[in-house]
Amino acid sequence: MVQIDCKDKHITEINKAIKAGLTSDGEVVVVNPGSRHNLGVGINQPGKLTFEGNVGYFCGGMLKQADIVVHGNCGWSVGSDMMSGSIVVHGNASAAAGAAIRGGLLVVHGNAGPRTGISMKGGTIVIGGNVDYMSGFIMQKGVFIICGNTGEALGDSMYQGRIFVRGKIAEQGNDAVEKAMDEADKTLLTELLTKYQVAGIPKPEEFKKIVSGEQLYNFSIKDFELWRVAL
Amino acid sequence: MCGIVGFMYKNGASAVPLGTQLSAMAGTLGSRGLDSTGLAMYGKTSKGHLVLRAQLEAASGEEGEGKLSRLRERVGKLVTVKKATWTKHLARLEFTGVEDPGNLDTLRQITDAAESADDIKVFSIGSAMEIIKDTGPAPELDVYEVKSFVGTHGLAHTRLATESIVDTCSSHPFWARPFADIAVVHNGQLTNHNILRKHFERRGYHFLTTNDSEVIAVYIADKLLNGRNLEEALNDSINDLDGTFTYLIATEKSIGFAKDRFATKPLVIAENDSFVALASEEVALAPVITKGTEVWEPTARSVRTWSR
Repeated sequence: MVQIDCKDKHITEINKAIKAGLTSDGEVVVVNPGSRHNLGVGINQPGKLTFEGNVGYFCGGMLKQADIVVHGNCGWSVGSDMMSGSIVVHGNASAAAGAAIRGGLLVVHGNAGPRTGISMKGGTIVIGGNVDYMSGFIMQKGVFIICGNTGEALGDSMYQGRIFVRGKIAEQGNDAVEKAMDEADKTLLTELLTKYQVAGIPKPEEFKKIVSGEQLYNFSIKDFELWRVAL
Repeated sequence: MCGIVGFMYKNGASAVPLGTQLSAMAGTLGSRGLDSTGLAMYGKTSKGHLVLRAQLEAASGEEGEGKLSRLRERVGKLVTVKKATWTKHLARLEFTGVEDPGNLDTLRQITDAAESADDIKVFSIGSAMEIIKDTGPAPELDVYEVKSFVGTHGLAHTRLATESIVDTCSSHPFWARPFADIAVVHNGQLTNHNILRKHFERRGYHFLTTNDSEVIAVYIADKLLNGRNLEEALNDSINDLDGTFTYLIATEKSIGFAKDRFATKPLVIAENDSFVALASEEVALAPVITKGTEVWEPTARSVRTWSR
């Protein structure tokens, strides 16, 4: 195990030490992260990385391969643009958690902020608590599970992908529609929630499934007047 | 992008001066803006007591003393000036025996008299509040001895200018002129501030700058004047202000925040029995909270107030 103390170190120095310390069978533990930004960004190698404390913005951004655990809260955009690997947060995440991920897995045991999973292009996001305004906006692919409540405009203008919500949905976004769950959905929910012990492992039947209504794929002549005025 | 900070000792002033807490918190938010830094601090009040803070530019000590003396003379025709001092860019005048310190006409007259010559710009008048602001990062304010300011609550701001020029007047916090003891710090950008400013100007209000955030201060103060409580005024603002904002407001006894309907701008809060601390980023809470203190983030379209 390699331990890195962030105190009095420049962020570049910390990230270089993280990359140097990661091995496929070893672990890097980062102490005193002090809510600092850009911790563990751009990692492209296997290994386990643990942050003991709160991290700032963009933690684990552009992640490939490695498995990150945060024992604390995250600032904006944890795991943004992740390609593969995993990030598990034992705390809350702020805005835009898992923004534009293409692969990998993000688990937040607490609440997440507005725009969680915005523009997801693949991968999986699991939130144990609530999400705020416009989460899942323009989702294109992937799986987004919310065990708590959502803010307004959930899944607004989503193209594809699946959103599962257990709690109250403040408002479904444009063209985000409810659809019956199939057996594959239920199996997936059970597997993920059990594996990561999220929110006391609720039953799949407690969730609603939200998908794209696919009505925004093509221009509708009914909207002509709206567009003429707007443009 | 700007950094905003709020802090309140719930049970009265504490051993660590308010100014020390606010300076430390603002000092961590330089990454959100280094154009200017400012503090609105609420200290001791006594009957008939008012403090005026203003910009006073002078090329030499002699010129500064001259301007200060003329300022004292002009304002002294309206109220009794107990003390007048001047440091670098800022003047501080302390008044005593003011019959009705909250009277808007009195406060307007004092402001007008102060600003009628020598390019003086009044930053604040309050019975408890003093606004100290200048261009540059947080350590630039040390010259004004902000760290030793003993008080109960206050606001701080680090600015990355977007709406108006980088100068001392356009720095935050903004005073809700001419209302005593009301200040605002704002992170975001309003799109309807010109319409709102014109609306308020037609009703007799004056503004120091064309900055969008100054309008918020007057907006809230006007709501309070018309009988809304602080929480109601903050809620009203979410519908009436167009654009992006998380802002903090402070009055003689309270602080509060409002966050826009899109939750575009960040805010994190830590609270215990003795204080509440609010900041744009968690890193700014570190100087005042102990490790492991719970930190939470308000949702879109939310407001909250704290009073002491």
